Amino acid sequence: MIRGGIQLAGILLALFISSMAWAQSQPAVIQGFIADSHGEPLPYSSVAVKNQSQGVAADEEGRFSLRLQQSGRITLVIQSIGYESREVELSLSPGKTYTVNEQLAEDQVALNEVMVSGKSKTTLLREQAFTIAAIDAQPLKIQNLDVNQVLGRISGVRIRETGGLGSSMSFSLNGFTGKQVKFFLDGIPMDHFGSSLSLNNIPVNMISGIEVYKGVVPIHLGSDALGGAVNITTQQDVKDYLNASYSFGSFNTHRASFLGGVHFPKSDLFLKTSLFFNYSDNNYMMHDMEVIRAGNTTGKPELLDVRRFHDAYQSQAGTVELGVSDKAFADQLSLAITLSSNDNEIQHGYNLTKVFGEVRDEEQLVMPVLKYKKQDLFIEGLDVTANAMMLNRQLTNIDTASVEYNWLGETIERIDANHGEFSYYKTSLTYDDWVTQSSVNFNYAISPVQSVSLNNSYHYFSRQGENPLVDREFTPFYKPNTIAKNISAAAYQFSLFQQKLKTVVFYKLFAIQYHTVIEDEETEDYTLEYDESQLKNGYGVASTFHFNDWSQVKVSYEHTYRLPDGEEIFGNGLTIKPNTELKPESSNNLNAGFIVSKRSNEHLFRLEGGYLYRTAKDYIRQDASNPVNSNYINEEAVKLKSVEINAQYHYKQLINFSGSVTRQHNTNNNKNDHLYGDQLPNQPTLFANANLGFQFDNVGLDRSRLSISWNTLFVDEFYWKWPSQGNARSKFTIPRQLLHDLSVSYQLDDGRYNISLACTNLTDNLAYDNFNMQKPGRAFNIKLSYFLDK
Amino acid sequence: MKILNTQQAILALSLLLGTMGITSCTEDNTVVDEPEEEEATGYVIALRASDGDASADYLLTHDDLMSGVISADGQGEEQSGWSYFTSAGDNYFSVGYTLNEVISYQIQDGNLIFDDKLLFDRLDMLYPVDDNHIVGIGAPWGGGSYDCQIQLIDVNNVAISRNISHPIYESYDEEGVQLNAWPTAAYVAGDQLYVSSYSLYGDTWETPNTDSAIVSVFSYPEFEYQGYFSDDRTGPVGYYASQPAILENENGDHYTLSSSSLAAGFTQTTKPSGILKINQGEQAFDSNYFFNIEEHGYKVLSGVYVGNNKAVVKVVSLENDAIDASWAAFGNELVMETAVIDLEAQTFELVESIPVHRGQYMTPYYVENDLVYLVVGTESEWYIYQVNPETVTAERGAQIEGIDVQGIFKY
Repeated sequence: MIRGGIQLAGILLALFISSMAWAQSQPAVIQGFIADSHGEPLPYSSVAVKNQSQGVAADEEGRFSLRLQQSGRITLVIQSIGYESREVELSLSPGKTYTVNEQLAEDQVALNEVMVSGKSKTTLLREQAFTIAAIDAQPLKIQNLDVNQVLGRISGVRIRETGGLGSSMSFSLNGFTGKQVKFFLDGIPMDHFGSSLSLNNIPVNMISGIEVYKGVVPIHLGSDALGGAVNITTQQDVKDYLNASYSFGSFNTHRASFLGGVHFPKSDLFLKTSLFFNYSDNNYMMHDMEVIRAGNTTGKPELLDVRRFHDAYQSQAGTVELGVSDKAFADQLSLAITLSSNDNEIQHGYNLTKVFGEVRDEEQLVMPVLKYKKQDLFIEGLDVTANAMMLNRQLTNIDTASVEYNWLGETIERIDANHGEFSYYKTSLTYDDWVTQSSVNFNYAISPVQSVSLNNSYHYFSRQGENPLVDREFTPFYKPNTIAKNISAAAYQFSLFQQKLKTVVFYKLFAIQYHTVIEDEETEDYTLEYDESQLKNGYGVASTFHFNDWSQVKVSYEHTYRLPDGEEIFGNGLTIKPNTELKPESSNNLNAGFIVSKRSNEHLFRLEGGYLYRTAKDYIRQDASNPVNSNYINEEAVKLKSVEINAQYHYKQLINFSGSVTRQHNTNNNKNDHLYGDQLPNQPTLFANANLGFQFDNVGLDRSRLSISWNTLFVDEFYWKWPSQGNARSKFTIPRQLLHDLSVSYQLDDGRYNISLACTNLTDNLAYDNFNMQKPGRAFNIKLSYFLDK
Repeated sequence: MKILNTQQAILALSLLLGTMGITSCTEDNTVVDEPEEEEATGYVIALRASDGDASADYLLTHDDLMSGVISADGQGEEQSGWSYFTSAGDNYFSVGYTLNEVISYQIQDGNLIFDDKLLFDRLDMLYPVDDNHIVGIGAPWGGGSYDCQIQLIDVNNVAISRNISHPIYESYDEEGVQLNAWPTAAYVAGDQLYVSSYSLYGDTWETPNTDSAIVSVFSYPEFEYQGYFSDDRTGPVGYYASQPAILENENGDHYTLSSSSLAAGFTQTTKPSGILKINQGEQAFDSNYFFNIEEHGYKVLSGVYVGNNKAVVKVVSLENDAIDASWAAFGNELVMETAVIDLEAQTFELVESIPVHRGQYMTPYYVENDLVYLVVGTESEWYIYQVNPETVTAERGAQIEGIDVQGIFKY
């Protein structure tokens, strides 16, 4: 009753204030969204001008709009019962619209390290019904982590790395792997970013959050994801900030990052920049390796502990973004340019009996991106976001050694002088890739309880090849191969029963057109030209029901496609042949889940459970039934089922705990195969994460904080090959891994200066993500960071 | 959770009863003079269980080639991936394609057990010389290199006891570019190792020289190069992946199979497919002997000698041996047929009851009691077939639960 009274009072106050404002002309408009630190809306929060009587209450969705008949500098005070208040400074001009989106921290309860936030703030209504895990990266920034290490703590997610910093990694989400899961950086697909800008080298400092969509993907991401999507968001707020960090650790690992933003309130211009640098020798020990010493011709190996000697990695990237905000034509309009490059020594492929001493990759990338955002364009309720990007990436694989190496780094004469270490031929093939991409998203709120969205995403990819070691017409891709994809989507969102039931239905149209120039098998030159196009329909529905303010269920279903990509259609010009008749993969995704969240002054408890069921077919996989080359073909049908549970508990500022367990049962669904029903090989079936943190304020010094964080990863043993085949005694497995990381951080001056010490793989366990590929043992690092946030 | 279905349960039960029966038999028959012959006998089978990334081969035992299902379900020694298989003495070897490992197994109490292993650089052709030795030859790739690694594998120590680098044969194209001689098959007679090969560029699979059959001669076991002999009535002997392309009869004469086949991976054919003969003790082809298989409408790819001049061979019809069937003798296309030939009478008869089937990498044949066992994979089914060369008939035997069998051995 009391709460209802406050609501009523708030609404009346809002009506009163807005009617006052309406009477005058040319007001400045401040609008926005108030949420808690989880991204959950804080209904009826108060938004008031400091030292004045003007103010407004946010609505049930945490949204507010405040019209002010004044100009010049003001300070907004945002408050909500049970949360810390915040102050925002604005410089107002008549007739202009300002957006203020703020998250308030709980008064009593500490932020968890990995914070699951229900929804991102800009897409609240649409996404509520989707199965999504979101991470607030803010509290993690002082730690020495990569994006993928943060991602790896989410239920259903497994990241598998072949080695140390910069090593190749694979991502799986509830059994979908590789290209079936799409990655986005601020909504822009990362498909062609390459390895210089990837999840395992972007430091956590660079990002503000991660959203993981499990299965059903909302249309605004405009993609042909089969099994989900991951959207990484960077600092979006227009403000002044500075963040610099440097870390140093085992294996001669150095990492530095710098982020800065300046906002010029008079011109509403803003400038953001981010730079990062990574280097590591990755020379960790490999235990009990089978080594053939130089001069040993018997083939009998010795078991030795050896240090990796050809695995150094260096990457650097920089982005500068210049834009304007809060203009009549745009809430934000900006142009960003990213440059990145890396140099990666490769120690081995999948076969550890073959060691490389000279193989390496080099990559350079240039990427301009144009972004546009506007709420209430022309008419109230019409929001538009659009972006366009262009990308040029040059990737060179260098494999020109004429000798062979062993694990001791000794060279051994070889009979085939023209063979590379890795490739069948010595190679220095450079791919010159050009990508252009654009997407536009309209969202129109018809009424407070219904809205429509339209999205169109266009993608064009072209690859040209150059190899100084081969004549032009025998060089793969000497004529460009191209793919154009277009995905159009429409969605209708509505809510019923006082917004207790929220539902979105959507439709997607997938189109692909490609042109490829393939090798004439008789003449072996690249002269046969092919053109092909395909069209597919996808659709789905996602719905959520709130029983009360602490419990919620979600159900969603989607029929979707993944269109084949460049390598799958064109091949790689070396070992993979083209397949011009490849069909898109398809999947039916069903997700169901619940969220229970209880909060009191001292305790916060949150439990989230999910069940996922998918049937996928026409899986694209590599076929090697011909001795010369393999190619990609459509084949398997699979059935993926998984159950996951995620629990969180916080006690005051002091203790936070989170844990998740995922159980996957992914099986062969091809009825004509004798392995029908068998568990898919080389996929973990049971894995779990736990994180325990303690925070103590004012330890030693005032305005300081000491944090201790313990993280444990468990992955149960799984088979490399089909589980039903072969006797258990001889079967190859990826052994059970139990890894512990400990980090201790000390913050000074309210978090301006930070020092963080970490030990990864504390117990120095021999751990594997992939068959035979040892991960680094115990390692230490120290990270210093400086934050300035106005 | 693995639940046995009724069929498997009955099978398991009958196997159990069968073993009990054998045990009770041995108790009754108290034969003491030759206890070694009492040991269980059966077959060691190299089964390729599945296609795709997680494909693996399994080395397993099976009692009867003519019945049951050859399956790796819960049994078999798992290999790291695709492998070649061979056997010498009491050892069964897998030669890895995923990992460069030769793994040796032995049979104990009817079960395969791991014996030992070695690491190798390249092994592209395998020939078990006797119970104690295997000759393995590795060929270079990438073009511009011509030395092969001729290796002697000591079966008992599972080690390479000799490794000599030398070209198998020196061959050049019309413009004088040197070609790679790729080893295809071998035999040891007396103190000589005979190796057949075919020539390709080595940076591509193009085969510009297909005009003659060539056999190189090395001393054995020293592997010193002694020369070669050739014959231009047909093309190169054998083809990629160590196919059985040299047949030995009761007198020690050898017959060499020249495929002249696009399906076998040649990029041109300039001579008819056929069979030449090397008489016992000779280092030359018999100029009076040529068995032209193309006169029967077929190309001969691989085979096995049974006895009494009879051989069972796999063939591809002239119609099926087209450029678009390039490498079809390895892949999923149905082009392979089976024939019985008489090497002396030069007769050729198709075994009609064996369907046209898929190609294989190392094509295994197993001979027992003058009957030949071979592998036949059709669109979606794989079986062992037993061929009777006398009657030119075949009988379908054990079902193969997988996509290939790469080796059949007796233990």
